[in-house]
Amino acid sequence: MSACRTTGAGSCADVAPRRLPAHHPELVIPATATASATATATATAARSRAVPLLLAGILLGLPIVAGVGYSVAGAMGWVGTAAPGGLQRVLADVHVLRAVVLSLWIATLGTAGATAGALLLAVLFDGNARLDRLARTIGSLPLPVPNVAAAVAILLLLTQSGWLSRLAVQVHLIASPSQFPALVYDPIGVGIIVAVIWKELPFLVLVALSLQSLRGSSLTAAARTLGATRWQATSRITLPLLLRGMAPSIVAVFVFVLGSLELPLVLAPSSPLPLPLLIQERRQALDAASHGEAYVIALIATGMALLAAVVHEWLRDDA
Amino acid sequence: MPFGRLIRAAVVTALTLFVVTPLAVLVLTSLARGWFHPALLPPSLDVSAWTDLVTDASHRLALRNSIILGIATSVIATSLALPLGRSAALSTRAIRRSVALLAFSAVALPPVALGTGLQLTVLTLGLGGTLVGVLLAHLVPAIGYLTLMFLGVFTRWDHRLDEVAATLGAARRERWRRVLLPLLRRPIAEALALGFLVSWAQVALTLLVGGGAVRTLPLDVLAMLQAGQDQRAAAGALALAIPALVVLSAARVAARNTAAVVP
Repeated sequence: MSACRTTGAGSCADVAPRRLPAHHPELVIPATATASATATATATAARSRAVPLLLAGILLGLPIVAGVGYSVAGAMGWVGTAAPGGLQRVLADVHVLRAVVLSLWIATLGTAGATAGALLLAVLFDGNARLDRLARTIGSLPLPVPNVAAAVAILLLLTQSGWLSRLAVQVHLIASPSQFPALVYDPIGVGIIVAVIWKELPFLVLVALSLQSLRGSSLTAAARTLGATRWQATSRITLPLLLRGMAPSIVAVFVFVLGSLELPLVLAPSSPLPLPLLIQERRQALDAASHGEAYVIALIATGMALLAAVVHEWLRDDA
Repeated sequence: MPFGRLIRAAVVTALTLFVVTPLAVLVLTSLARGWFHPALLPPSLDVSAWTDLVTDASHRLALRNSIILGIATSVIATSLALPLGRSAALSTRAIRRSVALLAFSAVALPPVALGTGLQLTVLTLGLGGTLVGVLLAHLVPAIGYLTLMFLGVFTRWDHRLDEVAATLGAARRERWRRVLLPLLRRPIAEALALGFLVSWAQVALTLLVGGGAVRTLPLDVLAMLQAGQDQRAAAGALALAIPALVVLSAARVAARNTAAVVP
């Protein structure tokens, strides 16, 4: 039992007693007992549906409904100080469109960069040599660093008076900080994208490596035996399988980045603003019309996230 | 195969530079006094920013709030998500998927959007700008994360142990106390850690629901950054990473011990 206790849930199957054999002579159950057992089973089944639904409804559904519901009510002008007609204004507002495009751009490039890095590491360093283990350890270093801290680190590195700018002066690439390219607060979000890749790489590396170790090398070995080159085995077998397995995690990263406030708060330009910051700006504006717009923009962001959540659940096949 | 080895060496070097440089700059900034452009290294080091985190009264308050919120969130979210995850895992596939979708939504909804509605709810309850109000808001993503986690644990769970205990006459309470909870020790510890970290790193919900009245360590870091106090901001940012670092090392040690028992 001690091994079972130490290993936790998964590995206890082999020490668990076997199920009783189905057709055992001394276990013939009288008909009345079967009837009552069936009734109990039905009741249990009904309860097994009611309990999770009730709990999930209260604990998760209520806050989500409150969050989305208030946004809908706010957008329609039913609650708060918002003036009606926010929807039309928001849909015609070029700032909102630019915010949506910028947020999608950052999330897409950041997620793609982190995914590419994770695939590269998983393919190149899935062995047991010292270099493999070193690469995997370094790749997972930013894992415990929260978003705020990651944003501060990238800011101190990339700002015009940051460390890279100092390095550029030292090697005579530039003469003064103002000559250093604007990598943070820039309109195309270079700083945020770098921060996203830095922060999300470890998570995707872990996912990719655990997929690699679950899959083993038999498929690749078979392909190699059948005459595939190393590159063919990687591009036709390893990469597609990895991408398929990583798909839910990639969607999850994308949606987190899309909604994250911390990175834009530290690194984003003031024009155009990413979606979360635009919502904040409109909420804090002094005129009532802007408050209504904040709710509408929040709804747009919510819709994008919910869409991603559905895609995420659809991609997960273990549920 | 020298070409392959060259590529591997180049990738490791690039990876190291990419990952380690921001961390190194963060550590140096937290210790640097009078470090001006274009000096590559600080002229002198001091630990005042670190000691300020603990001795300065306003930082201490923020740190205290962060710790209280983290512990409360982790304990409450774990005790609610465990029964939810278990009952959902025992239920039909459709319900399992709906619960998973709800839980993922609680995690994935943009905190700014979710917080807008939560703020109004908390204000209606008369808890706006209080620690309890912020706690309620932190619980939403925390319960989402932990429900997903326990759903995973119980979907792969061997329910026969529980059934055998029941067959042997153990009452419901006894089954929980003597079979389930001892087996669940590790997932529960992980859930407590994860719940703490979700609250510990939270910015958007604290900002919206706390309305600036509830200060936590991440908000302090942002404030120091805006005030141009880079040294203090860097120290605070590194302090933010400490709990997760402890959890990760503990998990690594636990994994090593496990490997010794079951290869």
